[in-house]
Amino acid sequence: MAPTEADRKLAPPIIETARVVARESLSGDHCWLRLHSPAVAQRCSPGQFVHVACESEDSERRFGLRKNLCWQAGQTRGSDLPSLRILRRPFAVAGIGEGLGSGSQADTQHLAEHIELLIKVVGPGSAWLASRRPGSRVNMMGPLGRPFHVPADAELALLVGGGTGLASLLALARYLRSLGKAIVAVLGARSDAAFPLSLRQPARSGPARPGANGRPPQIEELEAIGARSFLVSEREDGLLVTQWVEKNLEQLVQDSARVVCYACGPWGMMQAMDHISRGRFPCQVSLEMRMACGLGVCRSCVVRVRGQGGRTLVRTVCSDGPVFDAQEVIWEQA
Amino acid sequence: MGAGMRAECRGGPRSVAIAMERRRLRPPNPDLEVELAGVTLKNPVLLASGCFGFGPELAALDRLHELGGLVLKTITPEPRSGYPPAQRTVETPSGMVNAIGVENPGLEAFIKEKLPGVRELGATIIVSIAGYSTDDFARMAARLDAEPGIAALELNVSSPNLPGGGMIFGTDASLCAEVMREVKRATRLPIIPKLTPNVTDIASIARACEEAGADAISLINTFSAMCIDIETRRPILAANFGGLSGPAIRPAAVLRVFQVARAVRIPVIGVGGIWDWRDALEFIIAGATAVQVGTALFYDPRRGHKVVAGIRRFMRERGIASIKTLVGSVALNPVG
Repeated sequence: MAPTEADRKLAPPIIETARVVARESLSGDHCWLRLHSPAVAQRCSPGQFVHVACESEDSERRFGLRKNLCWQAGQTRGSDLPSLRILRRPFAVAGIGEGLGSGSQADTQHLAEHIELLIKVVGPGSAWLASRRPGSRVNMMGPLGRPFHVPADAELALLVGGGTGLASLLALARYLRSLGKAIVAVLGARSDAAFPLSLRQPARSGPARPGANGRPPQIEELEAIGARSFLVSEREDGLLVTQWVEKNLEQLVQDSARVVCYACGPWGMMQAMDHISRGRFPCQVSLEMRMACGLGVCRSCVVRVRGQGGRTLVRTVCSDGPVFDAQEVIWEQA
Repeated sequence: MGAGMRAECRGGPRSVAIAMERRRLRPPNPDLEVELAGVTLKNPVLLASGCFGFGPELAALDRLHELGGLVLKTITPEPRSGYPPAQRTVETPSGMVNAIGVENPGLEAFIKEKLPGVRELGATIIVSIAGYSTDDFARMAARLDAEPGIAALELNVSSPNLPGGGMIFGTDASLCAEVMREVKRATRLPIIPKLTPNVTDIASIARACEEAGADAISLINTFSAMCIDIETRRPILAANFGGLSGPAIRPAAVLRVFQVARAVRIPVIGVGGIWDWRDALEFIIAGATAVQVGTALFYDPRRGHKVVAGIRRFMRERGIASIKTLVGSVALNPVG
């Protein structure tokens, strides 16, 4: 069982230095990292994130060395500041345990030792993280945030992802599978080349096991989970993923009585999914926002939401989210 | 106050002989206790305002009562929702610029909803207040005076993110002194103005505060700052301007602490870019009786505890018995 809300209250996030056990470059500026971090993995639920210290290029070696030298020489000059980058970077957890396709999450959660991250290089911090090689170490705090909620009576889960929004949906898909829910996944990107995973590659032979060779999950793995998966690229299909979903909605959900939708991707995509889902089925969105502390104390990553009686409330993405009911979110934030 | 103010318990009763033998074999536990505005702190490390919320948010992560104290997030007379929910912080080299906008529940909601949870932490609590007028400060101080569990008030006369308030007071010595006088009249609690570095002569502001009745002085708040997106040619922060904090400002903060400590007789609290225990000791040697750890908490919420442990280890290894002997112990180089 994934930790419940109450469990998480009792088990605060922890700070752990994780070892990179596998890394794979993906299309574009993406990469896939698998980290050995049992303490984080064992309390992690789909939708949560880890807050990673993205240190400077050579800090690992220099940091350790300098610290030792300082102590030996009895020096105290200079602090142990690991880098110029003083803020951590949030990354959604894309896999928990032994990786996709290796059994249900329910079986592996308590034994989980690894988490997986899908990283898109957007700046020097993510570039540092994406350049980590197996054996190197990464300091992270987690798991953080409110995870996805799966209603007990849900029959079919519609997953709609854009760009790196795919990450948390992959972790969710495996969890849904363990609960025996039917899954339909629709993934969007600007072009085929922009899909973070090389999802349109022909199926490779043999079962894909990231644990075995560090290979990232491919589409066949999403399908191995039992998800009917579709890829929509703006360029090749001439449609935004949400337009495609709207057009094919009947076919996607067929006659399932209890549908629940999960969307993670660009702001506009999630707003459109909120619109599409209104009056049809509940929709949860996972928001992305620049963060500093990750714990809800600095109030950097705030969004406006509708509270009871239509009152506007300010909520933090890091601790009140990142998962919100789509209907709560006030999409026009300005 | 209460439990937070008592000296550390050093274990159960032991025979005199064993105690003496142990003392002979091991360097004594250094004394980290400091006196600040009539309040005894178990160690000189406080957490800075705005960097850990009101406390309960971090309580699960740490034993906050083991710190010297907590300076809570600044509250204003009325609730503030802060700046628009667009970009509120931006990372800069060895630092960050923030423009949160003093988001807080307001004085009454703070007392009703936050303060009970804060008291349960068992830590020494310093409440930070800010207003738009001298009267605002005085009224808030009078209201908080009636509340138990508050050790002192920090007067935020230095926030660059409070239009019409905050820094307006801290950049004018006479205005600043007026706030001190009115607040002093309104409360028996010790008052600690937090000064801004965005002035020509911070020592003269500090002296004005001292003369007007301040019990201690915190410094520094953030440096006014701006970051521009060169593509859009717009400021990166939604509020356009903000305040720079983090290790980038530390040497500038150390100098100002040194200057103020030489200019006043009341204790000084050093704040600005403390990342680890070495940084904290720099401030103490420069003249700070206590220090506050702020931005570093965003990287590691346990930073405050690590600073305490580091100071203790440093003192033990060098046989320094009391932290008080380090305060202001800097010896300047002779300059020809």
